[in-house]
Amino acid sequence: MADIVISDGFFPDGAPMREQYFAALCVESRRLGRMSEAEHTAVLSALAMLLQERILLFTDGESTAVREETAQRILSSILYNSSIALLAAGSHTAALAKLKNEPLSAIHDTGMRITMRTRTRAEVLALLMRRVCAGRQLSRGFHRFIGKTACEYVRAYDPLYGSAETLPVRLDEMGIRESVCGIMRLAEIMTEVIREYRKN
Amino acid sequence: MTELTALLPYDEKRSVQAILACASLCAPHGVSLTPAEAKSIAHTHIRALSDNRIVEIGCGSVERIIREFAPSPYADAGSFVSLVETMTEAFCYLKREADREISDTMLISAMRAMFERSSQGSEDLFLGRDLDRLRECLTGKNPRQTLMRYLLDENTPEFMEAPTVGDRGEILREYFGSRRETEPEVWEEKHGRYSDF
Repeated sequence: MADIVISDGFFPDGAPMREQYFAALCVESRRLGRMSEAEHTAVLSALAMLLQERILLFTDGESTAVREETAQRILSSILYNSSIALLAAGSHTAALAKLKNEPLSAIHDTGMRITMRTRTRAEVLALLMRRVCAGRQLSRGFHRFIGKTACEYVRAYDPLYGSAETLPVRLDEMGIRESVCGIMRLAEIMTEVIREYRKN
Repeated sequence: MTELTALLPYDEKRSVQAILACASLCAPHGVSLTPAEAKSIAHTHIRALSDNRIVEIGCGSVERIIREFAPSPYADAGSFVSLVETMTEAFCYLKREADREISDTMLISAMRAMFERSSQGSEDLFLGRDLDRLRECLTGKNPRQTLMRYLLDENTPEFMEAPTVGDRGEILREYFGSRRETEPEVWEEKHGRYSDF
Protein backbone atom coordinates (compact mmCIF):
# COMPACT_ATOMS: atom_id res chain seq x y z
CA MET A 1 0.00 0.00 0.00
CA ALA A 2 1.43 3.38 -1.02
CA ASP A 3 1.50 6.06 1.66
CA ILE A 4 0.39 9.51 0.66
CA VAL A 5 3.31 11.87 0.07
CA ILE A 6 1.65 14.74 -1.80
CA SER A 7 -0.17 17.04 0.62
CA ASP A 8 -2.11 19.08 -2.01
CA GLY A 9 -2.87 21.65 0.66
CA PHE A 10 -4.67 19.04 2.78
CA PHE A 11 -3.87 18.41 6.43
CA PRO A 12 -1.38 21.21 7.16
CA ASP A 13 -0.97 19.82 10.70
CA GLY A 14 -0.04 16.36 9.47
CA ALA A 15 -2.02 13.45 8.06
CA PRO A 16 -4.45 11.66 10.37
CA MET A 17 -4.08 8.08 11.53
CA ARG A 18 -4.89 5.41 9.00
CA GLU A 19 -8.25 4.35 10.43
CA GLN A 20 -9.41 7.97 10.72
CA TYR A 21 -8.51 8.93 7.18
CA PHE A 22 -11.98 8.53 5.68
CA ALA A 23 -13.65 10.85 8.18
CA ALA A 24 -10.73 13.28 8.22
CA LEU A 25 -10.72 13.54 4.43
CA CYS A 26 -14.42 14.45 4.40
CA VAL A 27 -13.93 17.12 7.09
CA GLU A 28 -10.83 18.55 5.42
CA SER A 29 -12.44 18.62 1.97
CA ARG A 30 -15.42 20.50 3.38
CA ARG A 31 -13.06 22.97 5.09
CA LEU A 32 -11.17 23.60 1.86
CA GLY A 33 -14.39 23.89 -0.13
CA ARG A 34 -13.51 20.93 -2.32
CA MET A 35 -16.59 18.96 -1.35
CA SER A 36 -20.06 20.47 -1.61
CA GLU A 37 -22.83 19.98 0.92
CA ALA A 38 -24.68 17.74 -1.54
CA GLU A 39 -21.59 15.59 -2.12
CA HIS A 40 -21.04 15.28 1.61
CA THR A 41 -24.64 14.20 2.11
CA ALA A 42 -24.27 11.66 -0.71
CA VAL A 43 -21.17 10.16 0.96
CA LEU A 44 -22.98 9.89 4.29
CA SER A 45 -26.01 8.26 2.62
CA ALA A 46 -23.74 5.75 0.91
CA LEU A 47 -22.06 5.03 4.25
CA ALA A 48 -25.44 4.48 5.91
CA MET A 49 -26.49 2.12 3.10
CA LEU A 50 -23.26 0.17 3.38
CA LEU A 51 -23.65 -0.05 7.15
CA GLN A 52 -27.16 -1.44 6.73
CA GLU A 53 -25.91 -4.01 4.22
CA ARG A 54 -23.06 -5.10 6.51
CA ILE A 55 -25.38 -5.39 9.52
CA LEU A 56 -27.74 -7.63 7.54
CA LEU A 57 -24.74 -9.65 6.36
CA PHE A 58 -23.55 -9.96 9.96
CA THR A 59 -26.89 -11.41 11.07
CA ASP A 60 -27.27 -13.60 7.94
CA GLY A 61 -30.39 -11.59 7.14
CA GLU A 62 -32.16 -13.07 10.16
CA SER A 63 -32.32 -9.94 12.20
CA THR A 64 -32.60 -6.23 11.61
CA ALA A 65 -31.43 -5.34 15.13
CA VAL A 66 -27.98 -5.61 16.70
CA ARG A 67 -26.30 -4.31 19.83
CA GLU A 68 -24.96 -0.79 19.61
CA GLU A 69 -21.41 -2.07 20.22
CA THR A 70 -21.76 -4.52 17.35
CA ALA A 71 -23.00 -1.79 15.01
CA GLN A 72 -20.12 0.42 16.13
CA ARG A 73 -17.61 -2.35 15.41
CA ILE A 74 -19.08 -2.92 11.95
CA LEU A 75 -18.91 0.83 11.28
CA SER A 76 -15.27 0.91 12.44
CA SER A 77 -14.50 -1.94 10.08
CA ILE A 78 -16.13 -0.13 7.15
CA LEU A 79 -14.27 3.10 7.93
CA TYR A 80 -10.97 1.28 8.32
CA ASN A 81 -11.21 -0.67 5.08
CA SER A 82 -12.47 2.35 3.14
CA SER A 83 -9.60 4.43 4.56
CA ILE A 84 -7.08 1.83 3.44
CA ALA A 85 -8.46 1.92 -0.11
CA LEU A 86 -8.48 5.73 -0.19
CA LEU A 87 -4.91 5.91 1.10
CA ALA A 88 -3.84 3.62 -1.71
CA ALA A 89 -4.95 6.26 -4.23
CA GLY A 90 -1.58 8.01 -3.91
CA SER A 91 -2.64 11.57 -3.06
CA HIS A 92 -5.36 13.35 -1.15
CA THR A 93 -6.77 14.79 -4.36
CA ALA A 94 -6.92 11.36 -5.96
CA ALA A 95 -8.48 9.92 -2.79
CA LEU A 96 -11.14 12.64 -2.84
CA ALA A 97 -11.87 12.02 -6.52
CA LYS A 98 -12.19 8.32 -5.76
CA LEU A 99 -14.58 9.02 -2.91
CA LYS A 100 -16.74 11.25 -5.10
CA ASN A 101 -16.80 9.09 -8.22
CA GLU A 102 -16.69 5.47 -7.11
CA PRO A 103 -19.43 3.65 -5.20
CA LEU A 104 -18.49 3.36 -1.54
CA SER A 105 -19.15 -0.37 -1.58
CA ALA A 106 -16.48 -0.76 -4.31
CA ILE A 107 -14.00 1.33 -2.30
CA HIS A 108 -14.74 -0.78 0.76
CA ASP A 109 -14.22 -4.02 -1.17
CA THR A 110 -10.86 -2.76 -2.43
CA GLY A 111 -9.86 -1.96 1.16
CA MET A 112 -10.90 -5.43 2.25
CA ARG A 113 -8.71 -7.01 -0.42
CA ILE A 114 -5.72 -4.90 0.66
CA THR A 115 -6.17 -5.82 4.33
CA MET A 116 -6.50 -9.48 3.41
CA ARG A 117 -3.12 -9.30 1.70
CA THR A 118 -1.68 -7.62 4.79
CA ARG A 119 -3.15 -10.36 6.91
CA THR A 120 -1.55 -13.05 4.81
CA ARG A 121 1.80 -11.27 5.06
CA ALA A 122 1.50 -11.01 8.83
CA GLU A 123 0.69 -14.69 9.08
CA VAL A 124 3.69 -15.65 6.98
CA LEU A 125 6.00 -13.38 8.98
CA ALA A 126 4.80 -14.70 12.29
CA LEU A 127 5.11 -18.31 11.29
CA LEU A 128 8.57 -17.75 9.88
CA MET A 129 9.69 -16.02 13.05
CA ARG A 130 8.48 -18.87 15.16
CA ARG A 131 11.52 -20.73 13.92
CA VAL A 132 13.88 -17.77 14.15
CA CYS A 133 12.97 -16.92 17.74
CA ALA A 134 12.65 -20.43 19.09
CA GLY A 135 14.38 -20.73 22.46
CA ARG A 136 15.92 -17.24 22.34
CA GLN A 137 16.26 -15.34 25.64
CA LEU A 138 15.47 -11.63 25.37
CA SER A 139 16.47 -8.91 27.86
CA ARG A 140 14.00 -7.03 30.09
CA GLY A 141 14.78 -3.74 28.32
CA PHE A 142 13.99 -5.30 25.00
CA HIS A 143 10.69 -6.55 26.41
CA ARG A 144 9.81 -3.01 27.54
CA PHE A 145 10.58 -1.65 24.11
CA ILE A 146 8.44 -4.33 22.53
CA GLY A 147 5.64 -3.73 25.03
CA LYS A 148 5.49 -0.09 24.04
CA THR A 149 5.09 -0.84 20.36
CA ALA A 150 3.17 -4.11 20.67
CA CYS A 151 -0.35 -2.75 20.69
CA GLU A 152 0.16 -0.43 17.74
CA TYR A 153 1.88 -3.19 15.88
CA VAL A 154 -0.83 -5.76 16.37
CA ARG A 155 -3.53 -3.21 15.61
CA ALA A 156 -1.79 -2.33 12.38
CA TYR A 157 -1.85 -5.94 11.36
CA ASP A 158 -5.42 -6.54 12.46
CA PRO A 159 -7.23 -7.00 9.13
CA LEU A 160 -10.69 -6.09 10.27
CA TYR A 161 -9.55 -3.66 12.91
CA GLY A 162 -12.51 -3.00 15.21
CA SER A 163 -14.61 -5.88 13.99
CA ALA A 164 -11.99 -8.61 14.37
CA GLU A 165 -12.54 -10.99 17.23
CA THR A 166 -9.38 -12.96 16.72
CA LEU A 167 -5.80 -12.07 16.01
CA PRO A 168 -4.50 -12.45 12.48
CA VAL A 169 -2.44 -15.51 13.32
CA ARG A 170 -3.38 -18.75 14.99
CA LEU A 171 -1.95 -18.34 18.45
CA ASP A 172 -2.30 -21.95 19.47
CA GLU A 173 -0.24 -22.91 16.47
CA MET A 174 2.53 -20.68 17.81
CA GLY A 175 2.25 -21.95 21.36
CA ILE A 176 1.00 -18.55 22.58
CA ARG A 177 -1.93 -18.06 24.92
CA GLU A 178 -4.53 -15.42 24.04
CA SER A 179 -3.64 -12.87 26.70
CA VAL A 180 -1.81 -9.56 27.00
CA CYS A 181 1.46 -11.45 27.37
CA GLY A 182 0.52 -13.56 24.39
CA ILE A 183 -0.15 -10.51 22.24
CA MET A 184 3.13 -8.96 23.35
CA ARG A 185 4.94 -12.15 22.51
CA LEU A 186 3.33 -12.15 19.09
CA ALA A 187 4.34 -8.54 18.47
CA GLU A 188 7.81 -9.40 19.65
CA ILE A 189 8.10 -12.23 17.17
CA MET A 190 6.84 -10.10 14.32
CA THR A 191 9.20 -7.23 15.15
CA GLU A 192 12.08 -9.64 15.27
CA VAL A 193 11.31 -11.03 11.87
CA ILE A 194 11.40 -7.58 10.32
CA ARG A 195 14.77 -6.91 11.98
CA GLU A 196 16.06 -10.13 10.56
CA TYR A 197 14.81 -9.16 7.12
CA ARG A 198 16.49 -5.75 7.38
CA LYS A 199 19.79 -7.31 8.39
CA ASN A 200 19.64 -9.55 5.38
CA MET B 1 -23.70 6.51 19.61
CA THR B 2 -23.99 9.99 18.06
CA GLU B 3 -22.10 8.74 15.01
CA LEU B 4 -24.49 5.81 14.60
CA THR B 5 -27.71 7.73 15.24
CA ALA B 6 -26.58 10.37 12.76
CA LEU B 7 -25.94 7.70 10.15
CA LEU B 8 -29.01 5.60 10.85
CA PRO B 9 -31.70 8.04 11.97
CA TYR B 10 -35.05 6.50 12.89
CA ASP B 11 -37.50 7.25 10.09
CA GLU B 12 -40.69 7.60 12.12
CA LYS B 13 -42.97 8.30 9.17
CA ARG B 14 -41.83 5.21 7.31
CA SER B 15 -42.07 3.09 10.46
CA VAL B 16 -45.64 4.23 11.13
CA GLN B 17 -46.59 3.34 7.55
CA ALA B 18 -44.94 -0.07 7.85
CA ILE B 19 -46.69 -0.76 11.16
CA LEU B 20 -50.07 0.22 9.73
CA ALA B 21 -49.51 -1.89 6.63
CA CYS B 22 -48.57 -4.87 8.78
CA ALA B 23 -51.55 -4.37 11.09
CA SER B 24 -53.93 -4.23 8.16
CA LEU B 25 -52.85 -7.76 7.22
CA CYS B 26 -53.86 -8.89 10.71
CA ALA B 27 -57.47 -7.67 10.38
CA PRO B 28 -58.78 -11.24 9.94
CA HIS B 29 -57.61 -11.89 13.53
CA GLY B 30 -59.81 -9.08 14.80
CA VAL B 31 -57.05 -6.59 15.58
CA SER B 32 -56.40 -3.25 13.96
CA LEU B 33 -54.40 -0.10 14.63
CA THR B 34 -55.14 3.57 14.06
CA PRO B 35 -52.41 5.94 12.83
CA ALA B 36 -52.16 7.42 16.34
CA GLU B 37 -51.67 3.96 17.84
CA ALA B 38 -49.04 3.11 15.23
CA LYS B 39 -47.25 6.34 16.11
CA SER B 40 -47.36 5.44 19.79
CA ILE B 41 -45.85 2.00 19.01
CA ALA B 42 -43.11 3.66 16.92
CA HIS B 43 -42.30 5.97 19.85
CA THR B 44 -42.12 3.03 22.22
CA HIS B 45 -39.84 1.28 19.75
CA ILE B 46 -37.47 4.26 19.56
CA ARG B 47 -37.34 4.50 23.35
CA ALA B 48 -36.79 0.77 23.83
CA LEU B 49 -33.97 0.76 21.29
CA SER B 50 -32.32 3.70 22.99
CA ASP B 51 -32.78 2.33 26.54
CA ASN B 52 -31.28 -1.03 25.62
CA ARG B 53 -28.59 0.36 23.32
CA ILE B 54 -29.79 -1.52 20.26
CA VAL B 55 -29.46 -0.35 16.68
CA GLU B 56 -32.19 -1.42 14.29
CA ILE B 57 -32.64 -0.83 10.60
CA GLY B 58 -36.30 0.05 10.11
CA CYS B 59 -38.90 -1.59 12.32
CA GLY B 60 -38.74 -5.22 11.23
CA SER B 61 -38.95 -6.49 14.81
CA VAL B 62 -42.20 -4.59 15.49
CA GLU B 63 -43.70 -5.98 12.30
CA ARG B 64 -42.72 -9.50 13.36
CA ILE B 65 -44.23 -8.92 16.81
CA ILE B 66 -47.52 -7.74 15.29
CA ARG B 67 -47.66 -10.72 12.93
CA GLU B 68 -46.81 -13.16 15.73
CA PHE B 69 -49.14 -11.84 18.42
CA ALA B 70 -52.18 -10.92 16.30
CA PRO B 71 -53.42 -14.55 16.16
CA SER B 72 -52.88 -15.03 19.90
CA PRO B 73 -56.06 -15.89 21.80
CA TYR B 74 -55.03 -13.30 24.39
CA ALA B 75 -54.87 -10.45 21.84
CA ASP B 76 -58.01 -8.38 21.55
CA ALA B 77 -58.73 -5.15 19.78
CA GLY B 78 -58.84 -3.15 23.01
CA SER B 79 -55.48 -4.16 24.42
CA PHE B 80 -53.50 -4.93 21.28
CA VAL B 81 -51.53 -1.68 21.30
CA SER B 82 -50.48 -2.23 24.90
CA LEU B 83 -49.50 -5.83 24.11
CA VAL B 84 -47.40 -4.83 21.10
CA GLU B 85 -45.67 -2.07 23.08
CA THR B 86 -44.91 -4.43 25.96
CA MET B 87 -43.52 -7.05 23.62
CA THR B 88 -41.47 -4.44 21.74
CA GLU B 89 -39.83 -3.37 24.99
CA ALA B 90 -39.31 -7.00 26.00
CA PHE B 91 -37.80 -7.82 22.62
CA CYS B 92 -35.23 -5.01 22.85
CA TYR B 93 -34.40 -6.07 26.42
CA LEU B 94 -33.82 -9.67 25.34
CA LYS B 95 -32.06 -8.72 22.14
CA ARG B 96 -29.15 -7.36 24.14
CA GLU B 97 -28.50 -10.91 25.33
CA ALA B 98 -29.40 -12.70 22.12
CA ASP B 99 -27.62 -10.50 19.57
CA ARG B 100 -26.55 -12.72 16.68
CA GLU B 101 -27.07 -16.04 18.42
CA ILE B 102 -30.86 -16.21 18.11
CA SER B 103 -32.88 -15.02 15.13
CA ASP B 104 -35.61 -12.44 15.65
CA THR B 105 -38.27 -14.90 14.51
CA MET B 106 -37.21 -17.52 17.02
CA LEU B 107 -36.95 -15.05 19.87
CA ILE B 108 -40.39 -13.59 19.21
CA SER B 109 -41.90 -17.08 18.88
CA ALA B 110 -40.40 -17.97 22.26
CA MET B 111 -41.82 -14.78 23.75
CA ARG B 112 -45.27 -15.67 22.49
CA ALA B 113 -45.00 -19.25 23.75
CA MET B 114 -44.00 -17.96 27.19
CA PHE B 115 -46.72 -15.28 27.19
CA GLU B 116 -49.47 -17.73 26.32
CA ARG B 117 -48.43 -20.77 28.33
CA SER B 118 -46.60 -19.58 31.39
CA SER B 119 -48.01 -16.06 31.77
CA GLN B 120 -51.50 -17.13 30.66
CA GLY B 121 -51.86 -13.91 28.70
CA SER B 122 -50.95 -11.61 31.60
CA GLU B 123 -48.57 -8.84 30.61
CA ASP B 124 -47.71 -8.17 34.26
CA LEU B 125 -46.80 -11.78 34.89
CA PHE B 126 -44.78 -11.87 31.71
CA LEU B 127 -42.81 -8.76 32.62
CA GLY B 128 -42.49 -9.62 36.30
CA ARG B 129 -41.45 -13.24 36.02
CA ASP B 130 -41.22 -14.85 32.62
CA LEU B 131 -39.17 -12.18 30.91
CA ASP B 132 -36.31 -12.87 33.30
CA ARG B 133 -36.70 -16.59 32.72
CA LEU B 134 -36.26 -15.98 29.02
CA ARG B 135 -33.28 -13.77 29.69
CA GLU B 136 -31.67 -16.44 31.88
CA CYS B 137 -32.25 -18.92 29.11
CA LEU B 138 -30.44 -16.65 26.64
CA THR B 139 -27.48 -16.13 28.92
CA GLY B 140 -27.16 -19.81 29.80
CA LYS B 141 -25.67 -22.73 27.95
CA ASN B 142 -27.12 -23.69 24.57
CA PRO B 143 -29.68 -20.88 24.41
CA ARG B 144 -31.04 -22.08 21.09
CA GLN B 145 -31.78 -25.53 22.40
CA THR B 146 -33.33 -24.23 25.60
CA LEU B 147 -35.54 -21.85 23.64
CA MET B 148 -36.64 -24.75 21.47
CA ARG B 149 -37.72 -26.61 24.58
CA TYR B 150 -39.79 -23.64 25.65
CA LEU B 151 -41.35 -23.59 22.23
CA LEU B 152 -42.02 -27.26 21.83
CA ASP B 153 -42.08 -29.20 25.09
CA GLU B 154 -45.62 -28.61 26.19
CA ASN B 155 -47.23 -28.92 22.80
CA THR B 156 -45.14 -31.68 21.41
CA PRO B 157 -43.61 -33.80 24.17
CA GLU B 158 -42.72 -36.40 21.57
CA PHE B 159 -40.03 -34.02 20.36
CA MET B 160 -37.50 -34.88 23.03
CA GLU B 161 -38.27 -38.59 22.69
CA ALA B 162 -37.96 -38.56 18.92
CA PRO B 163 -35.68 -41.48 18.05
CA THR B 164 -33.61 -39.75 15.39
CA VAL B 165 -32.38 -36.33 14.49
CA GLY B 166 -34.44 -36.58 11.30
CA ASP B 167 -37.64 -37.14 13.30
CA ARG B 168 -36.93 -34.11 15.42
CA GLY B 169 -36.28 -32.15 12.26
CA GLU B 170 -39.72 -33.18 10.97
CA ILE B 171 -41.35 -31.90 14.15
CA LEU B 172 -39.49 -28.62 13.88
CA ARG B 173 -40.40 -28.32 10.22
CA GLU B 174 -44.05 -28.79 11.10
CA TYR B 175 -43.87 -26.30 13.93
CA PHE B 176 -42.11 -23.59 11.98
CA GLY B 177 -43.76 -24.35 8.65
CA SER B 178 -46.06 -21.35 8.74
CA ARG B 179 -43.57 -19.01 10.36
CA ARG B 180 -40.56 -19.38 8.15
CA GLU B 181 -39.92 -16.56 5.75
CA THR B 182 -38.00 -18.53 3.15
CA GLU B 183 -38.51 -21.88 1.53
CA PRO B 184 -37.76 -24.84 3.84
CA GLU B 185 -34.96 -26.16 1.65
CA VAL B 186 -33.26 -22.77 1.52
CA TRP B 187 -33.68 -22.28 5.25
CA GLU B 188 -32.21 -25.68 6.03
CA GLU B 189 -29.36 -25.33 3.60
CA LYS B 190 -28.48 -21.95 5.05
CA HIS B 191 -28.68 -22.81 8.72
CA GLY B 192 -28.60 -26.58 9.03
CA ARG B 193 -29.98 -26.19 12.50
CA TYR B 194 -31.97 -29.35 12.76
CA SER B 195 -28.78 -31.26 13.25
CA ASP B 196 -28.23 -29.34 16.50
CA PHE B 197 -30.93 -31.41 18.06
